[in-house]
Amino acid sequence: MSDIANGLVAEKDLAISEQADLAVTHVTARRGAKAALDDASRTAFGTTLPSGPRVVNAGGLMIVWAGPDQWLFIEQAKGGVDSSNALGKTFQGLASVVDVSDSRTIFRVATSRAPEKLVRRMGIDFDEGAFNPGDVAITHVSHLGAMVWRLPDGSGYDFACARTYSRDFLDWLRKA
Amino acid sequence: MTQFQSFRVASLGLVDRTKPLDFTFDGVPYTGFAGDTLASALLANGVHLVGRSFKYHRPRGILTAGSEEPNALVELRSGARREANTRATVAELYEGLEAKSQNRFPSLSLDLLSINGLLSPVFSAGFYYKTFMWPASFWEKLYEPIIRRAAGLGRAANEPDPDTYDKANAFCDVLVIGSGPAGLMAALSAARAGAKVILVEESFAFGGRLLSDARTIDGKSGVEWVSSVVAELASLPNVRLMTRTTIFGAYDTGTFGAVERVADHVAVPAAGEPRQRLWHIVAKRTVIAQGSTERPIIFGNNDRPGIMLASAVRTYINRFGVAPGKTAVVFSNNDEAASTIDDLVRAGIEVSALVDTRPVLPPEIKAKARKHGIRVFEGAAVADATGGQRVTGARIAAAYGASHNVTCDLIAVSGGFNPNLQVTTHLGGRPQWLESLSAFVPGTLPKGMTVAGTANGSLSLAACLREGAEAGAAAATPNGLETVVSAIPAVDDELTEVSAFWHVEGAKHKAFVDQQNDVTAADVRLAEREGFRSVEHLKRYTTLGMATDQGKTSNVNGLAMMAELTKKSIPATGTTTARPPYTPVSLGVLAGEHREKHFKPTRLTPSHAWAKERGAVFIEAGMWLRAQYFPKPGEADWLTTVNREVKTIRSGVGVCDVSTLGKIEVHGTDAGKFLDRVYINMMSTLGVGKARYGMMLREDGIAMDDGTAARFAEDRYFITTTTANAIKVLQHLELCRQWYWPDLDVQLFPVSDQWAQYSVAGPRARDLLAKIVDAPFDISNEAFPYMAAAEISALGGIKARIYRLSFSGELAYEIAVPARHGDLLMRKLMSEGEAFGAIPYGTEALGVMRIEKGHVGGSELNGTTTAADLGLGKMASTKKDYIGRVLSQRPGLIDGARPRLIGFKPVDKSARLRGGAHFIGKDAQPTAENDQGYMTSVAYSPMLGHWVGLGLLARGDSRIGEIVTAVDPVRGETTLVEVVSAAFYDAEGARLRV
Amino acid sequence: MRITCPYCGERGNDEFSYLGDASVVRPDPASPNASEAFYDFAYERRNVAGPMQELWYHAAGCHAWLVVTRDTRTHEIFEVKSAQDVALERQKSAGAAQ
Repeated sequence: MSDIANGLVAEKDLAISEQADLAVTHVTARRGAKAALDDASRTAFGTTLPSGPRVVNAGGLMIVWAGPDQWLFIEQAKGGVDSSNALGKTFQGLASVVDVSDSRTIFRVATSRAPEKLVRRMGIDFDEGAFNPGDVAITHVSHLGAMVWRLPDGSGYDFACARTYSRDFLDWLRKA
Repeated sequence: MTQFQSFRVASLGLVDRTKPLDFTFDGVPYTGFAGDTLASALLANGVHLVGRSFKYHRPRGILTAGSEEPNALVELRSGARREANTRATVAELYEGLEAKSQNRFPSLSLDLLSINGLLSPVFSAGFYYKTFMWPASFWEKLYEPIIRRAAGLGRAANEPDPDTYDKANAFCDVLVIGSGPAGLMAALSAARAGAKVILVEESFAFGGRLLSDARTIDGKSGVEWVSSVVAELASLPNVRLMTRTTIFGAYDTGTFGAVERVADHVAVPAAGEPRQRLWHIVAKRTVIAQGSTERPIIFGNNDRPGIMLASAVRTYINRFGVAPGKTAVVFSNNDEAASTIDDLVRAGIEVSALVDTRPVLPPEIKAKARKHGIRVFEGAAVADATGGQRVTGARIAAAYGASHNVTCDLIAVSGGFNPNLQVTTHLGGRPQWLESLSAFVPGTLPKGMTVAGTANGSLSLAACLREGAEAGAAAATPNGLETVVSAIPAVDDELTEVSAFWHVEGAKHKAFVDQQNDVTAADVRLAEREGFRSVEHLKRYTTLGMATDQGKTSNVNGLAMMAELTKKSIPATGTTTARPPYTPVSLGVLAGEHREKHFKPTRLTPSHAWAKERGAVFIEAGMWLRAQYFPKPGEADWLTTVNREVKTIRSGVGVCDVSTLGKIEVHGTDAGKFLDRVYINMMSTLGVGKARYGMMLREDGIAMDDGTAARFAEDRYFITTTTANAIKVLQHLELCRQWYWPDLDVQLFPVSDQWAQYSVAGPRARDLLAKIVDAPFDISNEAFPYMAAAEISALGGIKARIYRLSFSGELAYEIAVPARHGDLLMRKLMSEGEAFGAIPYGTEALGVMRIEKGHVGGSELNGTTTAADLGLGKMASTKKDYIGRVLSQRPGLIDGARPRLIGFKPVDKSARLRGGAHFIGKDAQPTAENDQGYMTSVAYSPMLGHWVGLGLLARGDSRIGEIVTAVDPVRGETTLVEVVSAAFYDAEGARLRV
Repeated sequence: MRITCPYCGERGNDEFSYLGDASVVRPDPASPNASEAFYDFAYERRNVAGPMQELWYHAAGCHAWLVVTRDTRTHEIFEVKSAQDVALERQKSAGAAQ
């Protein structure tokens, strides 16, 4: 992983960069608390939580749907601030909250439109018009589990894969 | 020696005469043109003999012009790229192409093995089953090598494939398979309606039969019309055009497999390009427009080079500008003979006879023949061909028993047309017999699939265009909306009558039904006589329809012959269904990039880079690459290293990366209740800040996995699973949570990759960790006793977790930090550990120490053992229900005679124990009846100075002190062992509580 | 074959793993005939030729267990539901019956 650990990897066709220093928190609603959790989120972040595979931006925070009643809260790590701890307090009693900052490696592909090669390597319909800005998919590519979302402003795609699969995943991504 | 392309017809063909291409066949240099196939280029040079047949080594030529070719199979390329059984009829010519004929010894024209033809009684139907039956020992040594040498196809390359293969996915509204008139109209209609369309063509050019037949559409030539349609399709953003792509299989829910031959038409793929690409196409609706395959007629010597399907003759003339002979006989049972005569005449080929099986020919055809001075034989048949390596004439059995011999070097045969309906049957669809066509047409179709054109049994060009347009428009239109069909182009009229005719009676020579498998009419008769009458039996008994062409030119003929022999109708006799693949698919393209180091992902542990620097020897454990041991310079072998590691740990301290364990956060107000139901022991009573060993069962009562559960808050547990079962356990827990007990408030978080977790074991473990954990955390035995767990910080402010767990039996801890800090933590442990002589250790020492302690591992949790078998029965709570409880109490699982986990040591202390050895009574014979269990794990114990083993022995727990024999039939070893307690080392557990 | 996950949308069956009959219900372990009931639950399965309710797990997706109604002869899928919703519904109707 050493070759990718320090940020940008310049590629011929695609600008792929590892999003280092992110604080990622997995939030799952407690049983029956979805509505109250939405209220708490609106109060704290000005947005409800996506109820399907979508990603929303809330200030510097990105809220990514991660399964039924589950979300990843992603933000730039702020030195000394424990994001998961803070979220745990915000959602006290409404959600279970786990720091997963080191569980996944997130690669950003900065392109407004996925190139043909990438589109055809995805196992889901990734065509322009089928996978739109703000869309999220949990899927796998080439037997590697991966999450992908298209940035809500359309400026790129984020790919998240389990940390120990990231070498193979990057290899896959580079071939695209 | 052949003249330079002396069979080219100057005015005809679509090949590019400005681009000559050199190639060799059996080492002889030839020239062809861009746009040729290997077959057309060979024919242009007058080469008809291209191979020897499978069993009889008969000379064979080129029968077809497409992927249905049974005969013209060659070895293409050389060295590592050598590819056997390539159909010359679809192999595109490229500069420098090398091809070799197959199945001949020593050369194609002098094949000594053609004597097999004289041995044909030996090679008749069922010869494998009948001839080589006895004695059995002869099979491997004698029969098989001879058969392999004598009968077979080409040779594969011996070296690894140097090319790469790619996989791709595509999604569309309408998939159109085939780009003849029906396919092009379907794609055009669907695309104009706005649908996302994929048009797939097997050949390198769009157009299908329109490239092979001289037709006029909308006042343009067929070729011009194709160009205009393809140009329009190419201009539309919603259309993907794919040539050189074969749909090989239809799968459920509109899924299709296809192979794109990206670089089969060049010598070597361009840099970065794959040789082939496997496509996974998902289509809402599909139009099959794959045309039809012409049938041969079965007559004597019908396999001689120079005997070709009439449609192939027209293809070679019109598409490739090649005259496949000088003097032709046309032998037919249908009206396409008219076009064949036109094309032969246009190409300057003399037509010496038209032989038609129908008693009365349409006047138009007779008039045409008369105009060109062609003798017409009505109600007649070619009974035998003459010639050896090339056809030299035809013996015509005419009406009233008359016989005529006609000289020719080409026989254009047409026995009618079989719609290419294979793909419609891949999902179980049954074709239906259409009497007017004497052929099977698609019957029941999978949802979303329609068929158009000749594939549907509609032979006329006008019908192809109309059906294509209608099918494309319907496929593009969501239900309920009115479809808009594109204007259908105008074409001239044509005759399309067919009269069934299958095989000629009274042939004097071998008459082939399946040329690829050398199945003759006599074989089919023999199968019938011997009772193999169903089509499936006929196929297995005679091999009719097998191998690379899958009987595309032979299945229906074989079926029709069997129907005649059994005096049943063809549909009553059977039908022809196909399974994928439609044409052969290379294994390379199926594997794609998953080969060599990309066969599977490799997961590296957080301390991998450090371990590599330190010179660790690694071992693959599932997808993980783990440090196995850390040799020091001068250590003779792995055992020396591992012995040193174990002794150092048990006297000092060692560190092992155990991050590969599965890790799951279990949260929620009902987390404790939930864990009670999945573990055999109580977890709800576990105190906050404590950890507990736990075991999970499958519902059938067998042990599934073990690990630890730690509780960090009332509603927050953290559990570990074995490395191998991480994914399985999560899936199981999700099932329990979502399906069995959806009312519980429980949330699961897989966090295996979140934490770098290291075991720090040995008497000095506490001293070392005291340097790692941040103040004010108190690591003393009093404040943090055995089985304690805490969330702390370490290394100056890094979030960490510490557990007092021991797998080694020593004072031990597991410490975890977020994975990004894993490398730092390992380096810090090692540098701080220098003062205590700390060493790293790997899976080998880990295993030795757990066996010395009698702990179970993967070899014991092997899917056959219960908790009681493993000596863990007392852990099971009787105060609650849990998964597997009820069935674990079945009589069979609580039977005292079951094999129980117990320890073993060799009677002769110097003897080595072997995992997998079976236990028998001390003086018993090593038979299956005397089997009493087997050794599951063994290790050399450096602490005890001899080998120790764990094993499952019938009633093992009550046999301590008994001597049994461990038999290892694989290595041929027999060892006397003593049954002992599995706790070999520190049985009281004094060392881990200090 | 493709399965429409109610959460993720239509995906290839390579993303799912199969468990089996969704019509069997885990028996009450406290019932007097628990051992027979569990034996049936673990081992006895009908070999359905036709529409069948099956449990599938969206392993490569959202980790939801699903109840898929599928014709075992044609692989046609008629309905896909969240297993958790089906289970809650079942509990509710069982509760109402008592």
